[in-house]
Amino acid sequence: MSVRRLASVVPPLALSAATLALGTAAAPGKAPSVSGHRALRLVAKPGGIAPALLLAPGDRVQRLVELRARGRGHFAAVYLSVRIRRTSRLARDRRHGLQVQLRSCSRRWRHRGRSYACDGKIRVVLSRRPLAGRSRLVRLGLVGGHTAHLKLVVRLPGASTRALAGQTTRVVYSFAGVRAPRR
Amino acid sequence: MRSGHRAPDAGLRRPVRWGVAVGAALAMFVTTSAALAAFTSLATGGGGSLSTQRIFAGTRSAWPSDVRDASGGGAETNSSDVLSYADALTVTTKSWSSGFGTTRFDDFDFSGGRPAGVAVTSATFNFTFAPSRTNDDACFYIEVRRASTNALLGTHGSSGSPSACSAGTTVSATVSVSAEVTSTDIANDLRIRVYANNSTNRPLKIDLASVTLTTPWFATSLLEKRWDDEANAAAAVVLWPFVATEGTAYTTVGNLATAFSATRYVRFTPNQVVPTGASISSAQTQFAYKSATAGDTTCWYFEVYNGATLIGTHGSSTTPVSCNATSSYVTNTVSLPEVNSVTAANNLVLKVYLRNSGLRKASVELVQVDLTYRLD
Repeated sequence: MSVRRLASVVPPLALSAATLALGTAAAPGKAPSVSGHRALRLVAKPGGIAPALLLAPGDRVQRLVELRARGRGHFAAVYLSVRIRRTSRLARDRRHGLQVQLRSCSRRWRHRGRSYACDGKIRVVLSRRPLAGRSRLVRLGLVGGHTAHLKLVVRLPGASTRALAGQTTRVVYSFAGVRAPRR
Repeated sequence: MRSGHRAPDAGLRRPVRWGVAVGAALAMFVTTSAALAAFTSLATGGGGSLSTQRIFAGTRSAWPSDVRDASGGGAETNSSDVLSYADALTVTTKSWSSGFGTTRFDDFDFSGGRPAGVAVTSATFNFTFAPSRTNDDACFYIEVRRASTNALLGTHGSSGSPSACSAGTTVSATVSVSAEVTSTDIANDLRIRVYANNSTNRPLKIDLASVTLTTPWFATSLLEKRWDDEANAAAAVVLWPFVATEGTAYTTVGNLATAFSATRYVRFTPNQVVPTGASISSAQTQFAYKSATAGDTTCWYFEVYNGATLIGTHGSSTTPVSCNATSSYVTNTVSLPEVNSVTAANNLVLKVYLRNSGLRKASVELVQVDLTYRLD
């Protein structure tokens, strides 16, 4: 093998080696940090959301979610992910279709009439955006042993076109928490 | 200067480079994924269904094509739109040519009023016709167009292969237009253009030109509101009255009396379709009228029927809904709270009683029923 040929292979090899080294260093040495009793983890309740049927333009649907951080430490970031199991124009039309917003209350939400009220401090942790997709929650500050009292608001915009009538969408939502590295 | 000569193993160098690069990317993916998985906690909140009403709340209008006129106090005259019903009553077109021509056609525009945005399962153009003489032959084919823009949506049949022909007898032809009329948005703005011929260059007699629609929520017929007979390549537009306040009016068949009478009326049956299960939140009628002769005063009141059952009266013989002494049309809008069910809406009949100070006729420009409903 000539020197030139050898030189042409060296950069990719170096890249491989560097990547492997970085990845290995970043990964924790032991998996039990995920499943151990004290490992920080997220629990969302309830396990399912009640269906919202017969929506009309301008309607808003509210569902409560208790997002608990079990274990020690805190999350560097928490994401809401909404996956579409059965798609329709409600999910595909990002302008007139369903939109989601997430608010947190420093205390438990209380049922008041056809809505939920907060006796504490309200924060918008996810501003209104199209339903499907993955978004980082802001100002959540979730630490181990604490619970975020969330209100999921799904809205069909008032300007929704009549083409969105008679549509059904099935969604699955989940939260992903990225643990902050231990100091 | 670069030589065109290549080393013997030059072809091997590129695959090796690619292999190394792909390997590096794979290693990066695997290790990074493992790292992220170890640092991420996932909580599934679960799933759920979200659905919308089948038909959003909105106001839909209907107009009568079925009109029975007893204004003279005698038996009812059938003043219904001849083109809207297969009842052996026919209109006669102008004369066609023995050969098809691109400038020889009849346009039929249909009244809409169906809830917008609903998918159409099937749409059929119904055309019942015959040559004006039994020993003539006639054929037709059609184009589907948007009424508002005249944009061509599709063609069915051709001059060489017509949609249907008649050898002198009445033919009830149907042409599927489902490929073009895919939603009520198109159905509410529909024009069918009929190209026809006649073996002896004579007219056709048309009994029916309508469109039947099927949707997941309702079935209905679209009835014509504008007929442009260009059989001889010259426009001749006939507007069905009652549909708009554009000056085209219906004049009562008989002369009215100076006093209201139970036997002097005009019955209007709007071409309404409200889906089964719909919730009606409001109903109203708009009625525009005047005296046929200037200087006369015409007054009116009306009864509302669910089929043959009287369900409401608005005004009376002593207190009419209104009187009009001017020579301009006056439009009255009257709420119909009694029309609060699908059955009442779909069997709605307005029986309008009229009187005229000059013992003459009245002109009616608009009869419109507006229903606001939704279907959950």
